[in-house]
Amino acid sequence: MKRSLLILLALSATTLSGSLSAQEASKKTDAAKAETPVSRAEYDKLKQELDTLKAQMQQVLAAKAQAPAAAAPAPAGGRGKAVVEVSAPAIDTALEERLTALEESSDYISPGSTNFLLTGFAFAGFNNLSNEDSSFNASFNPIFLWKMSDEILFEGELELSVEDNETEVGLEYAQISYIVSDYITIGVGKFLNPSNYFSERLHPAWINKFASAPLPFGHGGLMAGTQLGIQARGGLPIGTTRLTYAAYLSNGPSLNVEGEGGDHSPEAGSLDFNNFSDLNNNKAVGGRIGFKPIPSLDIGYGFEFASVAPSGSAFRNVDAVTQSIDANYVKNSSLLMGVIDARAQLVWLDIDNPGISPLDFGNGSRGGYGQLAYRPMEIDNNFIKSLEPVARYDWVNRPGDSKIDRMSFGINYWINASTALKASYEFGNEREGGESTDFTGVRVQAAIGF
Amino acid sequence: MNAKPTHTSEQRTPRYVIAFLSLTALALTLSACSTLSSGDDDGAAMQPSGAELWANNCSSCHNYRDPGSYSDAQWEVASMHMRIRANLTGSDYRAIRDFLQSSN
Repeated sequence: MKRSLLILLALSATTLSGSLSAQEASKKTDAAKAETPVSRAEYDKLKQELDTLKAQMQQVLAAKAQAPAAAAPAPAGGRGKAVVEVSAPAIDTALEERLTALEESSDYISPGSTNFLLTGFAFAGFNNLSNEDSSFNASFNPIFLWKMSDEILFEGELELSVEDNETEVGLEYAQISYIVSDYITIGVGKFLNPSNYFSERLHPAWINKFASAPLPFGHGGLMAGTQLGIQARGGLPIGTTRLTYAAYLSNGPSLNVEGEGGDHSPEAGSLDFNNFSDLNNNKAVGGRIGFKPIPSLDIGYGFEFASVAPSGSAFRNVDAVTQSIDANYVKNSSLLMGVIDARAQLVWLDIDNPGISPLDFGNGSRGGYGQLAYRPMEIDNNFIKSLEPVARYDWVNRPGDSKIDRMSFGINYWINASTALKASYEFGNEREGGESTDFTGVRVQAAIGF
Repeated sequence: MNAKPTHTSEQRTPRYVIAFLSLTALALTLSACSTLSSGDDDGAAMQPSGAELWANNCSSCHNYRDPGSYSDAQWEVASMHMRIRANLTGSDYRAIRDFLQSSN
């Protein structure tokens, strides 16, 4: 998989560099043009000059039409200068040439019908947790957006992170979307899981209020972060608000049958969400229905049905049902002189009990999180209005008396709308097989969205 | 212990495909009904302005980004990306895009 991702990265880089090279070669063939890209400021300046010259030409032509033409002869024996008349046609020609050159420059740098935008986010952080070694971490997530037409958009995100002394390269998503109408869009490829509100909307480091994901959505979580398949989605107007929907068909997760235990090995009966090969010729089907009863509140229900075991195995009849409800409230309150940001999401994961060892147990997992943030935007102090205290409680309950619950408190400092410094303290308890362990930790992170 | 009846993969595949197709058909039907019932897409007297839609929708997930942070061409792409992510209707998307392009 890593090789395929590296090949994809290489192909993407080659395609991008080839496209850029073609544009550069085209520029060099025009001897009159500069080699360096023209900025928006330069474009605006050129346009302004063009408009000014046009106005001036109009004034000159109008003045010439009214003033009589006359030439004063040079005084005899003196050193006075003769006034030489410049005819209107000569001025017209010079101005016309200047205008033509400016128009050509404007046309050259004006954008074409397809538009490209390189955006994304990055973060660097440090974790000091009682149950693991302290460590720095970093990630770079470029997002490539190509608008091919008013109906077609390609969006792709790479994740380049440092983990276990290696640079990990992952394809977060790569999707081609076709806008069928004002109310429905079809997408194909790898896309963020629409049934999982946090993963689809809140996971980027510059949006997530904390340096870590809630327990149900991190490593070994209860819901997939992405899907590989096809989806239909959109919004339906209801008065001044709307109902939102998404439905997808995907390869789905796979069942871990032979868990080996240990810190990093999957437990038997858990799901592997990184499996993007369909093992059983069955597809997962899922989606989300959302509604905004008031502009500040978005509530939704997500679901997925999947057959998760390889065909031909003893567990081929095992199905998994995932359900999730989410609520997100963001309100600028004059009473509180700032923005209240409250979010919650609950997850239920139920996997069939096949009655066959080692999966002959009730295989239901539960999890969720609740989070509150406040930013005093209306305080007349630039430092204070940039601060944002945050709090979060999250938990995961798994079969076999396995439970983790955690409480986190943090403070964020927003340098600008998409750049933040985050610091948080967390404490919690992990219970596994009758043993209970308390843990604490500090996380700091610098996150930027661009 | 819950014993499950045996099903062949050939019997299961159509069930999930039918479920997805049904959901998609329902979405198409609802969207068609919305198209028929909404009448004039502008409805200026009833619908929020681009600025209001920007304030109500974009802040659902993240901080407001300065409209001046992108050029018109960049907003053309970014707003389309966000339209799909936030499940905006076409009307809301165009209003927000036009507001951002006029405010940068």
